[in-house]
Amino acid sequence: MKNKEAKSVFSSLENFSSIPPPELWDNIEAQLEKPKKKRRAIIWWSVAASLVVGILVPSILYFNSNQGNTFELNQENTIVLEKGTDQKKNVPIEEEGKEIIKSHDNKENSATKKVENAISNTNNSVASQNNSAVPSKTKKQIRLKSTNQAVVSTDVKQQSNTPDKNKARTSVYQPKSSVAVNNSFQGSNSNGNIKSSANNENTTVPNLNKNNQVAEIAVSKSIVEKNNSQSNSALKGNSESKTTNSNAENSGSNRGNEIAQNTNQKDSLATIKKEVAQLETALANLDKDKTKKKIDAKDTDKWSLQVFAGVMSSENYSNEKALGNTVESKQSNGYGVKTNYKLNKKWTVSSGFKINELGQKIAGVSYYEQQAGLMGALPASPVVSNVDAFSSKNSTEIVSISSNDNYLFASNPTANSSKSLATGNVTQNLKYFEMPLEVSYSLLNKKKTSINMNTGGFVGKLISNEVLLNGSSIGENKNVNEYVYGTLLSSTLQYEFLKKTKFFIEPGMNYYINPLENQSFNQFQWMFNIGLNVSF
Amino acid sequence: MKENLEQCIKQCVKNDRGAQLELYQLFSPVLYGLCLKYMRNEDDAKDVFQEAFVIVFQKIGQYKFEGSFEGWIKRIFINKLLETLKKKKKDVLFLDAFDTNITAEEEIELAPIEQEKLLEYIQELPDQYRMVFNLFVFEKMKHREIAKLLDINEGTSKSNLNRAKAILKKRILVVLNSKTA
Repeated sequence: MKNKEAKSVFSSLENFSSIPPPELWDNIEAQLEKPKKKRRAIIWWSVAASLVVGILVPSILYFNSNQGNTFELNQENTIVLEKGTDQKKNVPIEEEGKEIIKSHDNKENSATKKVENAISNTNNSVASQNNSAVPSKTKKQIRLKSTNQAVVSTDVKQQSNTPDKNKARTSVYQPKSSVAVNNSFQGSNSNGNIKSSANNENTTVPNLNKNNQVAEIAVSKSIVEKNNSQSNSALKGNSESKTTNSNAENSGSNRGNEIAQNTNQKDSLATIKKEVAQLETALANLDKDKTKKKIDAKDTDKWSLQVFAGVMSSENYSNEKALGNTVESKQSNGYGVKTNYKLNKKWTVSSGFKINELGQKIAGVSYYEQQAGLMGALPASPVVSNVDAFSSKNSTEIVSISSNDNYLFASNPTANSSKSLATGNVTQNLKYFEMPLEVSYSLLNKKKTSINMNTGGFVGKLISNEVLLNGSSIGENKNVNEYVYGTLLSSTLQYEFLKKTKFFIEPGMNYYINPLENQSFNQFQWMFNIGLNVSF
Repeated sequence: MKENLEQCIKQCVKNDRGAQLELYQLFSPVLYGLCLKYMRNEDDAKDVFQEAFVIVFQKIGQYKFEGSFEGWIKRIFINKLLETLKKKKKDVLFLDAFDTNITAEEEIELAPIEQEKLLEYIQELPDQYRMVFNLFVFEKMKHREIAKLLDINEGTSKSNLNRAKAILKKRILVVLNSKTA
């Protein structure tokens, strides 16, 4: 059938219209009177809630940790320089230092506990979400089963309806019989006796549960026989006779006479029957395979792998000061890999690893460099000499933040002492190996584009620690914690440019809870990642 | 007529039930016919018809009086019909890999057949074939457009159409043969 031919044959249906049953308007009217669903409001509320949680948690943690985060240094690193002081004077100062440190430790401990609680809560909630995912999956499976049943039942319903409507329906899943039945009836039974066709079609229902082609062929054969018997019986005018196996066999024996009369038609009918049966069998098998594949694909699509890299900017939003100077932001970069698991249409959990760098800059820091001669007279332990050499009316704190004792830094240098000090820029970089645990909520998923909100926490292990003075490394920072914890909030915008492969951008922020002990350090970090997401 | 329709649409935007009924009476036969062509049976057609009409009344404010209103309303219905058919996951598989020996058949004059019979044959087609067939033959869409709409490739659309036509042709031939016999 060529296109033009098809169009001409079916042109009568082009503007086909049919008056709908009157009850449909009543149903429509009833639906129009129902109040609109507040689905959109629910979406916005959930977005707002996740934003509030994502922003509040880091903020609370940030401000809690800031209460004890003044620029107090370890007693080991602190020397107070005063004019005319001696070693005895240092004793109470050391004790005072201890007190400060103790109180600071207490505060930090409480803060740390809070953080731990928060993290454990987060983990619990994540765990509960994971748990909740299990029944949802089960539900899905059940739903799938019920869908299958529905398909079968629909077909059965159609079959059972067939006699009433004097119509026999074809379905992909029971095609061997239904098409053949139709053909035979339309070919020979002008009375439209479909009672027996219902019987025939019912016999095909069990076929749905069989993958055995041999069985199908056998049933097809029996159906063809039955059809023939029906056509014969119909031609004989026996419209009320119900088809049974014995009837089919008996009437089958009379078939030869009928065939002889209509040889051409029967031949073409038989050929068509055969072809259609083959076609439909193949279709059914293919359907099964495809369904299997689709289901498998759906299952496997639950997992995806993200590879990303990005730029970060560590920020000082609370005007923290270190070594008497304002801490400035520092740009860095990071990269990582993340695995995502789709719990359902909206929620995803992900984890992986990431190399990230937290940093800060302090400009105009006063320092002493032992090797430069200024501190040449100082012994390895610079306590007394320092005091004598740089004492002034006001106290000046000399600190050693670096593992390299040749460099000492002055906090709040006085006018006198600053004359003897050099000034430079200190840069600190802390590189971490981080393991995030995130929960994502899909805000939008339209065709190839999707937007997710992500929040969660991470734990990081220090892998690199560097202090740079005027661009040259002077060792490591002594006060850095080996392990760091934090929270994160981000938004992912994805676009599927290839099948199963998405490009994404991810602006977001990290909050580091405890990068350093007893020392100010940038804790907020803006990030902007780009990457690829591959589903599998 | 056009002005009346415009007025009616404006009243529908205001949720005037009388105007909605008027609009329903005007378009329901064509749209119900459309549903019957796309869906496998009358029950399914009724369901989609109701749902689509509710959408029409909910979104009628979005109609900007640019282009034909019938085209706009038909588009909503077709989208809803395709969406419903796609949701029937088991039926929606597009049989692109399947290849039988159905080739161009010898040309035979096809006598006209009753509308109801034709509709019945179309309804009996597998969902995927029926969708492609309807879009190509009745909506006069190109394979490229069909492929985009149904998220399949052009080749699949073409082969689905060929198979639909082959099945229909066989059905029609059987009927014709039985009539002539």
